[in-house]
Amino acid sequence: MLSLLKARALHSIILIVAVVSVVFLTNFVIGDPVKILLPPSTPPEAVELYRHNLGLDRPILVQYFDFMKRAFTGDFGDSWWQKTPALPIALRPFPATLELGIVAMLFATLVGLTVGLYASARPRSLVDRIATSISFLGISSPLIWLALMLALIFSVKLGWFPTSGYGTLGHMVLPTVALAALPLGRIVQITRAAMLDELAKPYIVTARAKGLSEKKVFIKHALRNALPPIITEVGWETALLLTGYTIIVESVYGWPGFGFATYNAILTRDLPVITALAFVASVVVVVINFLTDIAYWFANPTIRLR
Amino acid sequence: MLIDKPINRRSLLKGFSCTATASAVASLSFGLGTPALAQTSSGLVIALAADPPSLDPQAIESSLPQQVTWNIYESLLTRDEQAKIVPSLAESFEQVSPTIARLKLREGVKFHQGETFDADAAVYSINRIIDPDLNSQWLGTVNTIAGARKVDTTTIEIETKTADPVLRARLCLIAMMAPGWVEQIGKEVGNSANGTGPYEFVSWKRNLAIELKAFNSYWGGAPALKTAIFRIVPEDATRFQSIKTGEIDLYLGLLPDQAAELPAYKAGISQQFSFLRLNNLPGSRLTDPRIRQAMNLAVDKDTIFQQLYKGKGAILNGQLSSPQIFGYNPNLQPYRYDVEAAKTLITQAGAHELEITLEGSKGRYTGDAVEEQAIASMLEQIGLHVNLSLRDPNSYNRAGDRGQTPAIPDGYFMRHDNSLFDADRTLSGYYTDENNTYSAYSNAEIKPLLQASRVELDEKKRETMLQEMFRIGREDPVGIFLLQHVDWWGHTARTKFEPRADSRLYLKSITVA
Repeated sequence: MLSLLKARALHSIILIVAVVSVVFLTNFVIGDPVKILLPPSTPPEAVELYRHNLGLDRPILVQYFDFMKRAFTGDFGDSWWQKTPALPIALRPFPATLELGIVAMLFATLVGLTVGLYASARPRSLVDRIATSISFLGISSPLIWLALMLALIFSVKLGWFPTSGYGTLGHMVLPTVALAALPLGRIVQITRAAMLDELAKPYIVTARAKGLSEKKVFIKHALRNALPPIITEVGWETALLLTGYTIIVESVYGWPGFGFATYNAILTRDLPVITALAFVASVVVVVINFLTDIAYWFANPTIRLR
Repeated sequence: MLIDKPINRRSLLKGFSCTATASAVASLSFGLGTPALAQTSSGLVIALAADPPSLDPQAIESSLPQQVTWNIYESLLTRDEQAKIVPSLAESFEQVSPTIARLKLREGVKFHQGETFDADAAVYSINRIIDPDLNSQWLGTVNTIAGARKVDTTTIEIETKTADPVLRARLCLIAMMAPGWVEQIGKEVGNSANGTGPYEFVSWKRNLAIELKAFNSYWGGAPALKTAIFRIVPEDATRFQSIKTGEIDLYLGLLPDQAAELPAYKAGISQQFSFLRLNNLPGSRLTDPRIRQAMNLAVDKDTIFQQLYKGKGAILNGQLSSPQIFGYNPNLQPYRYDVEAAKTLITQAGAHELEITLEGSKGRYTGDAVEEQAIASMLEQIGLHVNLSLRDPNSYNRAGDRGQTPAIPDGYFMRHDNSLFDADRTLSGYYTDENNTYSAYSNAEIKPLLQASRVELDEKKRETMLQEMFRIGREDPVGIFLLQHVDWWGHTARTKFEPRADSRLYLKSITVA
């Protein structure tokens, strides 16, 4: 068990280092960062002075190793725009994203599970077909279109909710729905598929033959065994939501969270903050993967015996 | 597969409808209960397209934070509604020697947090912005200044490295800051604000909103508008909707096509000029001025102006300048639209069937791709073969910078912003290839004239030089001169607002009904 944890920890560290390194190095491929930071009228000597002050005139490898060395102590440098340390800037908006993300995932999971279970209980019925179609809608809608459409219909046309901002629960509704759409669709599908898979297995026939009630067969046996893939999917969607979907949804709704901060940092090419945000994102993914594995471990008894 | 009739249908259905109804009811009631839809009665709400990276007025030069900071901070000199330089925190300006200017400061002015504005503060502020350790983005504007020193409590002297006729214009852009506060707050200086202006900083929730309130002890009198909130609304579409619902009162960046749908809008003249920069450097295909003149004659600027920009703004008359800018030449005419004359010139220059590459942007400015494609096809009409590349913002930036791309394009669509209001910014930036990286033009007559004008303190003489350079740059075209643009402001009916020639947002001049 301990060796498993150690291997896991090492693996996670390598992953985080790899992600942060790629993000750091990519910044140099997409053009001169100094030119983005300065107005075009800046005379060349001023540009070079700026470059020197930011340490950007050193060879890339030197910059990389210096950055990595300091990053291991939590120092990602100072934001090029805000001039204050980058890591606190990256961490500060996270609670707001957690608010949104937790509610969205709870909603997506509860509703998704329910709909998926119902659909698998009555396969090829009308309800099943509707559920499957809606799940496809959720999965294939471009997120930015969905977010804007929700704002257009429910804020502008109907006036039920504010178009953007943060502060009241009313501000939370539309972003939550937009964020939950895709995970909801996926969870419906995976629940339905996993359940249908289980229900087709021989032991279900046995259980019914033994005289167990349909409810017991469905929940206590089939669902219990179908949980592992469902849990994996929920974990995956949570990670994706917190570090990916929020970038689009928060920007549309002006929700001051992690995603919006990422969008802004990338727009302004603020390298220290971008790498700090990438670091936070990869830590989030690692943690969620770990929690998913624990839940999986609990749900799947066969693994425990190893 | 034997499936019994699922007895759990009812319970499942119950469970499902419970979840759904509960969520819906909860959301609805929260939504309906929100007070956010009501208009804030006494305050103005302005939408900003992005969170300012910093509120330090001396460090950051981009225009967005300036919508906020020029209400909080002030400069020694400033511009009035017609963009003429007038006193602000300095009451007088005197050039006592070619490199030394003396300024008498206004008395009785205090910073919001209590410090007195005096010579110490003025000297500190000027020395701070030119300090290389600050890494100010304003360096290109202020690096002619060598330093400032105190003469007495209300008098300072500013020394420039050489005679600098543009100093007064530069002083309009340098914000005065409180030395005690700046030293004590350290790195956090960009996260709040403390100035002498009519509005003081209340709070800043990052990526959300900046709140300001009227500074009742302002030396120019307490402003009428008591509170203002700058809300960060990054999506174009959302900003637009927000005006319609009344959540936002005012924003900059309305699209011309949308203007009619809003309760109110203003198109204010700005100092942003669009032009197609042409490459006449030795070895290029366009060294013959006749080709570039022909290209100017080939473009139907009037149609573009009316169709794309609804006739708002102005057509440039053969120079990258406007009547609001010092050095503007009022005697120049725009190139007329004359395809036949253009073709003749092309033939004379032996440039028929000449292949040229043009680089442009898409999505960076309003209507940019459409405009660029229209111009490219107009150039095809006169016998040129045009390869037009529309690039995303990053590669577009690189393509125009001689320092980042070895292959200089024949033409590069660009917009020039002259917030200095002095022709020197334009001439040094685009009418010569010395000391800059964004120009692709060289003219032997302009270079010595430009050098001389930069140290000529006699206003009349200097103005003549600047006008002459614009004239030369028209005859030996720097590029295809296109349009002077406007700032499109969308606002609610209750907002009384007039745009300024310097594009600044002055809350003190706005009222809400």
